[in-house]
Amino acid sequence: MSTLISVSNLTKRYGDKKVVDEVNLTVKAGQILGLVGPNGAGKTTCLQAVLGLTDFTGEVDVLGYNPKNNRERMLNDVAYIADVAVLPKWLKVEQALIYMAGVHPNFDRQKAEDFLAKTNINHNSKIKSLSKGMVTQVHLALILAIDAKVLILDEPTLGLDILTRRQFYTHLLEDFYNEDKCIIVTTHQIEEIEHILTDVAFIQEGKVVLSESTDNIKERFKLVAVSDEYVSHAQTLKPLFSNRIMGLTTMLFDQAKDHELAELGPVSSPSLADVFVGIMTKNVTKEAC
Amino acid sequence: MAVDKLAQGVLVMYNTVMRFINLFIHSFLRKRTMSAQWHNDTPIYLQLYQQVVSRILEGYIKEGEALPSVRRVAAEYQLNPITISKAYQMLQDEALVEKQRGKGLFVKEGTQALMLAREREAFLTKQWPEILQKISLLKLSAAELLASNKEVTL
Repeated sequence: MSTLISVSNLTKRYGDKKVVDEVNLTVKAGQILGLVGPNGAGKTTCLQAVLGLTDFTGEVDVLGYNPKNNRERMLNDVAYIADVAVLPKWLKVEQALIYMAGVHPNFDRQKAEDFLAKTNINHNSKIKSLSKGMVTQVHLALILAIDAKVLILDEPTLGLDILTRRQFYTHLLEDFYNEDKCIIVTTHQIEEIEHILTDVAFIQEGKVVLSESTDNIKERFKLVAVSDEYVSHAQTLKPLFSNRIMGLTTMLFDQAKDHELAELGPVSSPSLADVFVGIMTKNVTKEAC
Repeated sequence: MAVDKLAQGVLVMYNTVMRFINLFIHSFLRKRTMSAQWHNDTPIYLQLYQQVVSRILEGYIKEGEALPSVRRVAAEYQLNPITISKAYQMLQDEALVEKQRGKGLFVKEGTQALMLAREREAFLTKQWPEILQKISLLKLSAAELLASNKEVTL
């Protein structure tokens, strides 16, 4: 698989504060990377650096281009939906299609029309007359109709109802994705896209605290339901997270040996959300000490 | 005489257990129709593989029929396409399905019989001994198993 995006030692400061701190990431063709972190962790800033929308220190390479110097050419093959996606209120849907076809060499008007045909959005409607969900759908139709190698989605489904969210990912997988492309997506609803992702990076206070393929995460992290008599022994194996309820303590372990865990109680695999909560909580308690 | 009774008892138990298992599998499959729910403990590609095997075995997917495309399944189940490719690759490796150029994957003739034999073998060597052990642990007699069976059968 060829590398489409590589980011090394990416740092972004606002005054004294490092909002992105020595971030390293590579994204290869075929990967769908989830960038996951709490609000204010630096996700959007990372994406903006990759898109050449903000100054930074470090190296960023997107499809062989430097986003700072070759932004215009890079954008032929990169599509982006910002978390604050806005379309001009006075614009008609039809005009948006004409505009995109005019400015973007890789825009496929037919694709956008096909997507819009599945919604009840009229081509003659003005943006200001559409609901929030409809505006987002117009936006998606415009962006996903670009035959881009790299697609960057910053909270693309924020504020959408579950039907529209599902429809969005269905559209993404069925009509956009293929193994020559890559997608980076940030979202707070990781349960919904956990199985869509091939890779995950957790980001906290500007740092990448975990970057793995979802397959490896299943190998690395295990949940164990520990009864009280084994809790003190289990603590020696340094769980990332433990929570006692109804007489059993659920503990999350990273890279523990299977046979050691099996002695403590029933072992299961955590969801991505479990791992996320475990890692975020671990780093916070460490700081408190 | 006593041996005969024992043999008969075992047969009755076997039928009872099979019925339970079928009920279980059916309810399980039914749950899987709309938006699939996956267990965290087994890789999803294996669960997907097993789902296809079960659907062929149960006759929901017929021999000679096409499997839906990787894209279609990815979109429908909201899974990454690599997961589906892995499951489909396993089915191809085991020669249960075959690729027809430009058309996709098709269930091969004779697959159902092949899988029935394989699943029977797996049941008799793996699950059945465990069930027998459980029955003896619970000291259940053939009559008791039969009686419970009547209540379940609709």
